[in-house]
Amino acid sequence: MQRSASQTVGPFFLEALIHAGDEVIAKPGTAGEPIILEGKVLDAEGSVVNDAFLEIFQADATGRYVADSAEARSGSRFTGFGRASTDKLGTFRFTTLYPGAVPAANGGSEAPHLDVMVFARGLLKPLVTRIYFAGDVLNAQDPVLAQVPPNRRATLEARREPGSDPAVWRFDVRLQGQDETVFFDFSGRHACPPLNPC
Amino acid sequence: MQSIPKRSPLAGSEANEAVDPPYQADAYKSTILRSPREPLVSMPKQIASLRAPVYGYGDVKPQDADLTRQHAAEPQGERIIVAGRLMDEDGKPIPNALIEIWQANSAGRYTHKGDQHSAPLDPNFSGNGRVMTDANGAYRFVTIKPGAYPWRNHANAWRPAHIHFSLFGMGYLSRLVTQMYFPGDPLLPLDPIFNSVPNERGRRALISTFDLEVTEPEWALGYRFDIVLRGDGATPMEK
Ligand SMILES: [Fe+3]
Repeated sequence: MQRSASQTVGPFFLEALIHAGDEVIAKPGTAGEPIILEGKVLDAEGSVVNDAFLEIFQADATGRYVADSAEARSGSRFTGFGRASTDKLGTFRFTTLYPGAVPAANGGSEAPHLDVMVFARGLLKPLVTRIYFAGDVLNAQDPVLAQVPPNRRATLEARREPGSDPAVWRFDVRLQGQDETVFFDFSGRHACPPLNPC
Repeated sequence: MQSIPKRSPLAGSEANEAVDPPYQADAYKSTILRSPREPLVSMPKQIASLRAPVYGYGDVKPQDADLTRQHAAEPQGERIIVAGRLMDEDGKPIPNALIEIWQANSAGRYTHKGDQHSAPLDPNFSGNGRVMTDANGAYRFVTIKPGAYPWRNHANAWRPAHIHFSLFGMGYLSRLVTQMYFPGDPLLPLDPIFNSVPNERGRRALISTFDLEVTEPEWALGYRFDIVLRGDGATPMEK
């Protein structure tokens, strides 16, 4: 069967999709190092995009993804998932924790990262990207960063605001133009390719 | 002066896939400054193999699926039922999945503060709903038929009546945001968003069908809208 085609979220998703607290991925008391992730969504001319939202999906501090459970579904514990819209200034903000390295099937690991989808008026399908943390020693061996042209890798790194406590990490999404963020190809079937099973 | 943005180098390969619209669809003007121009990086298996996130949606209530009963009285407009099945590309039903919808009222106005259309608000209609699919992947909403509304994309531009859908499937990349349209709408051939879908079959699948089975006598017309999501990493590839 052909899958259903994507359409833009348009400008009026706010009340339906964004609820107070959706931007809190790790509630106080969750094990790990609390961080704030903050940034802007910018268009080709550097203008702020004030009608976008981001979804973030991440592992916990030990590098594990939360398994489906009644407790997780009720939202009463860390789920590793959050949503935040951009405000008038194009700024989004998440309260979360520094994720652990994710063990890889081959015995290696993925550097700490956040998986991100960007939705906005003017985006006919989501943009898929990743946020890594500048300065993390594991970045050099990360198998996904290794697939990104070296001169563009910095667009996937959040930078720590000097002296911030809890740590504020800054990451801007540049949809087009100078320092355009690296996005991964969302088209295609994506069930793991036959020659490269997941 | 801003030079004319170069055409995305991906336009060709995306067109071959022919399922989703391209990022850059010039007739829909907002895409021009918001679509990437650098080559997309092939989807790494580390992302493609992720399961869908667990969304903290334990608090979905039955009245969330009935947009006509969220206020003191019933909203103005034509009461309708929208029902269908959520499945993957192999036709396998997707149970227990979250569907979120939002729409304009019967006059074509959203409650969103940014909606400047002069049509009246309806104090009995917010236009937001949520539901979980059942064990067979089936879902059902009760709402009112949304009105068409103007937008500023081009001269005398009107969006066909539509309901916005947001869905989660089994895999991380099953995620879908789309719009459901109504059969016979004369605005469909004129709409750059609807027509950004590259193939005829894909466009047709976004138009709900009138269904007498879903229709309830002396109460409301029924529309069927089945949705197919991308399979997850566990689904075997097509033969
Ligand atoms: Fe709309």
